[in-house]
Amino acid sequence: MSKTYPNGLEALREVSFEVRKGEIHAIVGENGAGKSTLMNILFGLIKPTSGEILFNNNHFSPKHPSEAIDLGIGMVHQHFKLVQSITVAENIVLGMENRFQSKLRRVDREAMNESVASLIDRLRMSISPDDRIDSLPISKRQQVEILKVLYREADFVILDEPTAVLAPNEVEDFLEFVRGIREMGKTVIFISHRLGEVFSLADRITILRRGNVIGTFDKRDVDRESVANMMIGTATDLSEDPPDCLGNESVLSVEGISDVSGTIRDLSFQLREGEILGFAGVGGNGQEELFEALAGSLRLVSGDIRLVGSSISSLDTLERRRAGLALITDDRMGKGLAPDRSIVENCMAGHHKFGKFGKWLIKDTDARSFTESIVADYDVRCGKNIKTAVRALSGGNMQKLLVGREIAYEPVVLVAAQPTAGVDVAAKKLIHDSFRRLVKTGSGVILISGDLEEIMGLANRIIVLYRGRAVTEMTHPHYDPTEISYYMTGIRGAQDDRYSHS
Amino acid sequence: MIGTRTLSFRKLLLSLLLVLCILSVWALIIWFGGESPFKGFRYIIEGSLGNHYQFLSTLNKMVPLILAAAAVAVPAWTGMWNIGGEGQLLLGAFGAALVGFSIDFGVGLVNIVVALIVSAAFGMAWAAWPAFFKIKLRMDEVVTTLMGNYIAAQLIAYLINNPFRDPRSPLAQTPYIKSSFVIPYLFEGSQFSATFFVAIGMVLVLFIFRKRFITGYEFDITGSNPVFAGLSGIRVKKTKLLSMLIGGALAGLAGGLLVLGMTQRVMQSFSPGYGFTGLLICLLAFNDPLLIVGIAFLFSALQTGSVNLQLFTSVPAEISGVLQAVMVLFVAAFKTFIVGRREG
Repeated sequence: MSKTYPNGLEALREVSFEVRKGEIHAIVGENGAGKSTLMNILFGLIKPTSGEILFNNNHFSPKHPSEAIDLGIGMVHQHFKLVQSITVAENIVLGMENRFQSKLRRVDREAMNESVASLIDRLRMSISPDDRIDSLPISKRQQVEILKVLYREADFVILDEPTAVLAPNEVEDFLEFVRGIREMGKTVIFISHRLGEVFSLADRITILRRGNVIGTFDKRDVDRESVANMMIGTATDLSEDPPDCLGNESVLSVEGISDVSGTIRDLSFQLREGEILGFAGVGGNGQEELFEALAGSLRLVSGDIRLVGSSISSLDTLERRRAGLALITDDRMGKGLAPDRSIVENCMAGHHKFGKFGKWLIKDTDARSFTESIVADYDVRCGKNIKTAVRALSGGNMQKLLVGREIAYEPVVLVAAQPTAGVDVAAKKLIHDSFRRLVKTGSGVILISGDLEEIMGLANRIIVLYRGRAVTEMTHPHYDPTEISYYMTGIRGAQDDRYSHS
Repeated sequence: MIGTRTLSFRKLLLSLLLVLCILSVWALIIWFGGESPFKGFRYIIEGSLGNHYQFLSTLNKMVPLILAAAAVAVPAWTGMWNIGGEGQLLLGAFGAALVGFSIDFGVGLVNIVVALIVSAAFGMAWAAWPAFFKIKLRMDEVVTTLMGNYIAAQLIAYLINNPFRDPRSPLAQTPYIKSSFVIPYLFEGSQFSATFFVAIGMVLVLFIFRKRFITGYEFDITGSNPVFAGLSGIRVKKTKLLSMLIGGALAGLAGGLLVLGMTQRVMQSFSPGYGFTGLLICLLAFNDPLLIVGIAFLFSALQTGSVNLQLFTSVPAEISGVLQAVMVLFVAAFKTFIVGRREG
């Protein structure tokens, strides 16, 4: 199976694997390894570029999820699709309620509740069909989501990172529940990157890395360490070295910050002038929240953030930018640019607050020359027309534009989240070089990235995030990718994960 | 000057296609009405542009339409929906009348300017509370501004029936404004007055504001991608609030100009739905101030023209309502095609 997206991204490269009836089959891989693409193909949401699927020895190429559902394939997505204001039974039956309709279109609720209750009993769950969804905790809602799939008599259940939304103490219950599904004779695909859970649950494990299947293994034949190695890939290219211009003064200090939802917990670190500080971790372990906390769009319940000595915790984004912060978001289309607007308008954004183009009236010539210098310095290819809508640019050029605009602030601290996600090698090099130049001037860079190679080649220091905590810290040149991969997958250093030590 | 050219060209083309669709369905409707479409269109065109009285009448009818459309457009630049133009216009009209019959500064120009400022302020006040509720309580401004129209209509009905009723009149209406407040007609036999130039002037100001001013730029960026705007340091809530206030002021000004330039008082059923027609015009014009003038001209010509159509054929003037409804349907159908889905 291969999949190449229209924008040239090779999500899957001749991937092959098989799932046996009645097993729990884990698929592990970092974000962007191709797990979601693979599952979406199975479920008929995406068409593969080449390759084929055999389901019960029959050719199977679903064009629509309904075809997959008809064959007994069910998928539970990471984000719930439940109606909050109605009951568990109603949610589960929704779409099939005509089975319980009388000739007068009256739904027989008794029969409906009973049929759902019998399924709940078989799974020995503690939910009542009469519970309203909005009165249930997240973990139960997820079970309802799975019940919905089982109620449709799915024999093949795909669970897409089901534990990402669960609190640590809910995970064990959930895993027990999944084992219950296997006992019913169903096949389960369990997608995760938390190796503790994977090893506690799965019969076999398939490892994906950057669109390739590294292998499928029986759980008994591998250990966590080797799976972590295969998943993250420790054969990294370390030809690049971090810049060497560390100063002594601290430019940014974060002291024990936590957010309301507990996604980041008691996080503290210092950033010195001329330093690039890397944050490694598998996606969803607090990276986005860390960015938002620094940008000023996340409410903190405790802790303080100081920029060159003065607290910025109570400042909004504009005031933080004025204090010397620049922000490269990980979502260039959604948050970093206005895609329908011209290159000029996108370059001006934010800078216009510094009076660079006049206080009231826009000085057209200033705006143009400012934009042209960014376009030239960062090699943004737009056919010399800076009035082109940003949407018309390629992903790499958009990213260069975004990076160029943020570095043009000459910030004291640059916060860069996934600055090279989905860009080509040349653009990546250009962006890395611009970071190196920036720190030479004494600025500090926070580099939040899922690309371990990038962090190791660029950062003077690495902090690994796992479930919102800093679990370890390493300093160049004492980087050990194997060690880092253990921390990233929670094999080491996790305080509250009961699977951290076997 | 800094916008994207290709995009506005495409929008223009699609708008033209939309108008073409509407015209062809209109032709069908007039044909069903028992008149040849070409004759029907001729009567409409003659009735609206045929001689200079009819032309001036068409221009004069544009005044409230342009401003009511601009009242929708400015909030739309920041991604806000102002469906409350009707209510804001009524409040503005009442504000101008209130000043006009109760105060006198002695100098005509001062009187007029003060009355217009008060009308804008009244309209602004009527837009302020939905904007406030939106920003503080996240109440959908579509609902609050729309409901505001009905509250405003009842409020004005009460005010002109009880505290501010003209004692000499058998009808529920305010007293006439003093003659020093009246914006005079410019031509004999026509209600055309300087109010037209005020409306055109406002449109030009808005056009320049949007293209050349830092705040206008912030409006556009906020409307285009509010998350990005916020991350760039634009104060999104403040910008949205400001756009809503400007919108309310424009609708209020429309009411003020109607009172000072035409009716000279506020009476029952003062507005035949200017606010809603303005909303349609704004949708047709994709929030662009200059396009608004063009579309408002079309609407206005349709209204004056259909009176003439009734005069010479068996087709009733009410047909303009049907023709407008056709337009609504096509606008709704085309909108997602052209502008795409958008968060309110």
